[in-house]
Amino acid sequence: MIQKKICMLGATGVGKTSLVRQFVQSVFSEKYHSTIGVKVDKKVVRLEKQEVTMMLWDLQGEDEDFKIKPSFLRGASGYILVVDLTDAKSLDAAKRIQFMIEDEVGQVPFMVLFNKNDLTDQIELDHEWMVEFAGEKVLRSSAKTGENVDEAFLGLAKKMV
Amino acid sequence: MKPSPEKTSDEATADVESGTPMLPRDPEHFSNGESSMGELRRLLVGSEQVSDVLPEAVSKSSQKNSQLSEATLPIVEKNIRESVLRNPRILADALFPVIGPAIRKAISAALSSMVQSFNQTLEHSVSPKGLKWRFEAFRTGRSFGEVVMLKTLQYRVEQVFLIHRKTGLLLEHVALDPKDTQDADMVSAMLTAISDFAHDSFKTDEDATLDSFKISGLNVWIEGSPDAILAAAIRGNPPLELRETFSLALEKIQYSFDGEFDSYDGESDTFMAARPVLEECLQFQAAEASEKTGRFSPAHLIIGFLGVLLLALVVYFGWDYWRWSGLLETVRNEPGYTLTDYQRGWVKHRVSGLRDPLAGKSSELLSRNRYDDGDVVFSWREYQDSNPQFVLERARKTLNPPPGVKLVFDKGVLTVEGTASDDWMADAKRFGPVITGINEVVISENGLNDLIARIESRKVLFKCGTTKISGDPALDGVSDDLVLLSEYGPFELEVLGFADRTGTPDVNEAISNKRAEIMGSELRKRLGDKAVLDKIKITEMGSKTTADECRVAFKVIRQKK
Repeated sequence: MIQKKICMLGATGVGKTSLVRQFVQSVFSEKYHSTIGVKVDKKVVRLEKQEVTMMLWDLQGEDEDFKIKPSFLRGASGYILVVDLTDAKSLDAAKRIQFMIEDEVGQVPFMVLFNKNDLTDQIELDHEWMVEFAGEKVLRSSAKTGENVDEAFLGLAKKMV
Repeated sequence: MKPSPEKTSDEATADVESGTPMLPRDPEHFSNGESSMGELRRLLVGSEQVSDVLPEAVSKSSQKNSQLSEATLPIVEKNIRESVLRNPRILADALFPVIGPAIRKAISAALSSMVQSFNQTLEHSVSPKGLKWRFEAFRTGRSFGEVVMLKTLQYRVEQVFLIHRKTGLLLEHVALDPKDTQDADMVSAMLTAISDFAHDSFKTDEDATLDSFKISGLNVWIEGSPDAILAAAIRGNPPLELRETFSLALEKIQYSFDGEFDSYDGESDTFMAARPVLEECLQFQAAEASEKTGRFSPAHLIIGFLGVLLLALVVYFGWDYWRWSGLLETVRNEPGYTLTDYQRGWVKHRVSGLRDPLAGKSSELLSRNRYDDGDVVFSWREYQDSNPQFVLERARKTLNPPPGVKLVFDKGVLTVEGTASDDWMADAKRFGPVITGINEVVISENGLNDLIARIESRKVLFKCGTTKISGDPALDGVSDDLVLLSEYGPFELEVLGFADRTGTPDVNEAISNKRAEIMGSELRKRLGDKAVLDKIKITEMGSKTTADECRVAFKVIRQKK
């Protein structure tokens, strides 16, 4: 079995922990709990040729007071960058984070999730912005409905092996 | 085998000079068809020179580098596999001398461990310490065996994690209990995260790692190498020497898997080969020896002595309380005593109160309650008890009644029964009411008169024509009454014999006399008590008259005092 370290990155409150919970446990909670530092989860996925153990490092979201610690990124085989569709500022944070992670671990497979797609009446970001950011690696997702959650993680796993 | 194409002819010559098989210097020597190839084959296979130098060549190659062993490893593995497939018995027979002792050793170790565990559990199951641990097991929800193990263990390495330093991914994990392995990769990741967090937060050196941390009774020791981290979860208090064990194990792994670390891409199967090294780190040390030496320490002896002393004091004071309560109860109920105060001391007790001089001795009260004379200090003040028993005794001592006088006390009235001189009767009437408890003195002869009348009304029948008593129960009544009468004495009792009218006067007189004599003898026999006979003088006489019945009658005569 092969193991891979995947980091969940993004601004604070964009839904990183909810996406991990949805992917690992298939549950969603409206309650918001801020992640302190890092929380590690695990999910074993079966790809065509082999099983992959995805070690999901859910990092504390970045904001004005807290910057992501580079040491948590070390050794990551891939990452998922999460943007909040209802918060345009989270896109700027995501861009900054991506620069940092490329500086720290280099070019590794990644996915960009524009999350909270279920909140249709609050969406602030349009499709062009999304394409401009990451091209085809972009998916609209919803941790609440599970939309594109498995697809994102499995897609990243395929890219990594 | 064929010459390496990279080698020049000069290098080939050098091989010859160093003792390897001689090969033609000119490669063109082989270009002349089959004869040349045949010559080469003869040199390589058929020549005895090759067989001579091959072992030496192999030995030198092994010393030089591991290329030969790497090259032959797949062949050897394949050959072993094929041999097993063809006939497993050959390899089994070859390995039997090794596998047999290995299995026996493993079984022996397992049995020894089991017996040790069983002994440990048994030893601690019924001792006071064992009971204490049982309570702890009940309180914490752990099994008793687990508590015994934790208490008797100095330290035990429960799990060892080998972690890839860069990624935090778990490379290999060993544990004493297989149940502990399920979230090893999560633990590994979080350990790395904690270490990274500490590293970032406190801005330590680049190569620095978290050294250790402790939670409850569990220590986690962490050793780092350039590419790996070894983390060990240890229960108890491990010695510092254990760190060296971990450090050496990690160095060994770092050295053995140097290449694998560089090329690591998440595939951890390669590191299964590190399991034996990690398993050597699963050490434990029981603390039983130190517990045994402490079993009879001076502190334990002192505590034991104090415990026995305390128990003895409790028993003594319990017993003393029991007899002290009994003594107080005795004093309260004893006639002639009145308890007013008491004090229970550590060594001596004190009792105060009132005591009638006619009451029993106070030392008897002590002995009745298992006290010695010196154990209790009595402080009595005299008083006169109004109990009838004491009033009567006091009246007897004061009035000194003469023989024939009986004193009876009831409800404050002293009744004097019997006969006495007129002077004594007058004194009794005068001084009686002075005695405590007596309000009035009554002189009464009714009791004596009634008794005399009852005796005189009795008759004892004889069988007519004979001198044999007919067995009349009246005889018993007569003797009992005479005993009572003696208390009033002295008296004279006349026994009168009677005959019926059927005989002649002479015969009747003789029978009457005889019957009186027999009755007198019978009474004397029954009143064997000399004190009674001293006060009752019995005289017999036959009546000169006849009667309707064959009997004797009695007459009481008062004697002068």
